Amino acid sequence: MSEFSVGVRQRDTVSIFELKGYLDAHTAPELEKTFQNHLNESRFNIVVNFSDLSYISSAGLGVLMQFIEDVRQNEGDIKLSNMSPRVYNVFDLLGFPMLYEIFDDEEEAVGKFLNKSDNPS
Amino acid sequence: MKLRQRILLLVAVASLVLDTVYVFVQHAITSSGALEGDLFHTALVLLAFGGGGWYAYRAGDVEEQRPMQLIGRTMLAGTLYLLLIGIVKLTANPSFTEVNGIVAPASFSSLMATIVLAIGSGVCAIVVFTGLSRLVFVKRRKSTRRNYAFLLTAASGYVLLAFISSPNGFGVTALETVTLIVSVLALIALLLNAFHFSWILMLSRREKLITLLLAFFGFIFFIILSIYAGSGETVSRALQTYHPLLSAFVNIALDFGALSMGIGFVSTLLHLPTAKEFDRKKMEISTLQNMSRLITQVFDFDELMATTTHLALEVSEGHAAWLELINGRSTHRGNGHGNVTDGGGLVGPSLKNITAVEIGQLCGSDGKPLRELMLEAAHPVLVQDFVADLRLDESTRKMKGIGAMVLVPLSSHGEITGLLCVTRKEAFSFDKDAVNVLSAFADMVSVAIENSTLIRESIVKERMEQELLVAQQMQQSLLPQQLPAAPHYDIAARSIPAYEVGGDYYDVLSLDGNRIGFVVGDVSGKGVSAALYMAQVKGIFQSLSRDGGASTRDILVRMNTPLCESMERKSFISLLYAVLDTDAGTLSFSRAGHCPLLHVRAGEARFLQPEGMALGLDAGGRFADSLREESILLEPDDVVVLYTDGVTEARNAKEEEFASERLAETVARAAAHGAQAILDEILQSVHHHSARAEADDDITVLVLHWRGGV
Repeated sequence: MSEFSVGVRQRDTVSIFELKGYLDAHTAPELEKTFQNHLNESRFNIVVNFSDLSYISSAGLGVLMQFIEDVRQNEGDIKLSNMSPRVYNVFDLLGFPMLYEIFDDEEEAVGKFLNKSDNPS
Repeated sequence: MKLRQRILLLVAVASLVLDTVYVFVQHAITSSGALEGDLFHTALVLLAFGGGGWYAYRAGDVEEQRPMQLIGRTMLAGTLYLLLIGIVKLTANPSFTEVNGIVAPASFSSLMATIVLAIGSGVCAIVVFTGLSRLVFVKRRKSTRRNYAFLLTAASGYVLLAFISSPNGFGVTALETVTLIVSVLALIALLLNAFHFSWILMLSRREKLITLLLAFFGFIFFIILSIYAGSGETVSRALQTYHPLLSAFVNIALDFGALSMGIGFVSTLLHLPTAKEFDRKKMEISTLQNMSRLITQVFDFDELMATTTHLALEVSEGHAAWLELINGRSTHRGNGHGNVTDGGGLVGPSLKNITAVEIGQLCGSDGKPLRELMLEAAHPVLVQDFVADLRLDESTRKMKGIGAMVLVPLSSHGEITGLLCVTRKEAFSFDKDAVNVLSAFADMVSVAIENSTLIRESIVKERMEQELLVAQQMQQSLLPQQLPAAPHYDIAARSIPAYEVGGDYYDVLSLDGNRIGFVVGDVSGKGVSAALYMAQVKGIFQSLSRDGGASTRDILVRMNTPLCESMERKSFISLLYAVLDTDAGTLSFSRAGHCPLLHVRAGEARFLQPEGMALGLDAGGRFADSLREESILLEPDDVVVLYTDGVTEARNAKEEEFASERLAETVARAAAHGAQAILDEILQSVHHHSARAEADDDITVLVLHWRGGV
């Protein structure tokens, strides 16, 4: 039931977290640890790919909220991508689209980071 | 028993006194002063010494005496007896007359000396005989009692025969052959009993040395004594004069003493070379026993660690020891020859006679290669010559104070969980036994540590359960106890907390004459912190909603700021606030990131979802910007349902959610039956759908049934 995993890929300066399974109060600490490790290593460009995530609870959303401020203060961002309608609905209901950039495709999200660093305008 | 013993002693002493008087009287009235064949005297002597002997023998049963004490006491009795003989000879020097073999004291002073010597001999013989008898029964075997019975029988026979054949007794002469046979039998019995000395093995080296000394002097004294008492010397004559029975008994006791001491001396001497080794083995055994006792004392983890190093030193006679546990066992699996993976580390060291700095020096800055040596090998590592062992770094080998070292792994379920290291100052001082003992010891430590960890975990779990219970009680007490009711509307509400995740909240507020507020919310997180946020929300609502002019939107906007300040970053609250104006028949509401409001009119259901983000997410203007208010003009038999996501997200075995469609259908079906009936129907449908006893999430539903007729 509460099986969950985070896979981490690196593309250029962007870290991509691939979430799999159920993200709830029991599994949230694992995602928290992944975020914490990245922040400790000063990696602040993060894309979270939700394509394999079946369920997210408020505790899972809490993890994103926990780190967004630190990430943005360090000129980075947490961008979200590839949400299933069910997962998107949870984000939407809570008003997260107003706080996070949500993309249909990981490519777009990564591109957004890379373009920004290419032309620092 | 105690009283009987005292009476026995009293009778013995009284008999002795009476007999002494009798002997003096006899000496005065008869010319020879001899007491041959005197039955009254015999009876009194038997009572005095028989009773005294029995008393001495029984008195020892009360407490178990240690063999060394018994040997010491026997030796002391022999020494005092020798002294007594010396004093009597020097002061009185008694002389005796002999007529037809019958011996008698030559003078009154000789008689006195005789009596003193006789009583002294008797007491000494009793002490010696009972002491040695008890020694026979130390570590008794099946044959012990039989051998002792044989000794008593043979000794009694010998004493009796000596009495009958002695000129001072009955003077029967034709018994030489029988006497010889019985004497040989008695000697065999003495030897049989004296050879029972297995207790010597169990003595420590120091005790063995003391025993050796005692037995040596004891042997010499008793040889001297038995020669004195047996030959025609003063003592022998005095005893014969007094009573042949006593004389024979003293002889037997002194022989017993000499034999026991002699055999004891030789046995101890033979055991002496192995004494040190034996001591060590005994120590090892007792330490292992201590350790197994330690397994049950696992409630204090630090104490367990400290005791472990302490016992490790004791068991191995080491100079310094330390114990470390490996943190995060899954990352530290030694795989034979491979490297130990990074991450985690050695934690919680317990040190003895060595400092953390020294260990750091010993292991190098990154804990290599010493720890690696053992972690790779996964079996004990013995460093016999610390200075020359090439497995160690050159800098490590230069460390002072270490000659040899043993590293043993602690393991649990096939994984290494820590290491125990013991060092000695001398090189080549650990043998294979020491390594084996330390290994066995390490196994016990592993079990103890694992037990301790399990206990700690169960305590933590219990505490968490307690906390959840408190949170649930808090949550329940925050919910309204009574709901308002009026002719033109009715309300029903219910919140069912899930086992762990408790964050749902609802409230119904009577604002002013014609307005009622409804709140349904969901606090992210769980336990006590969720319950505390809930209490805060309730408090803020109760103060803000007093403002009659404020819209639902205004109130939520005003709420957001203090909540953002007080809440943890990762926490937020989704909430729907609705206000019913009973005069106007309107319901206006705002939604802060919460589930939509369900409105059912004439079998037609619609979900109303005005814009708005959850409380506590954004402290800036975005919250206010996002938030909208909506209003409905109610018609009779309209039903409004406020709920949390626990309702729509309730899943069945196939992972299908209850979903808003089912909720809408259920409410439409039951709409005509009033708020309570609708609520019941919803809860039952959800329960039926998920078909589980325990819900994953809290379920909260608030139903407003508008009858109208304003």
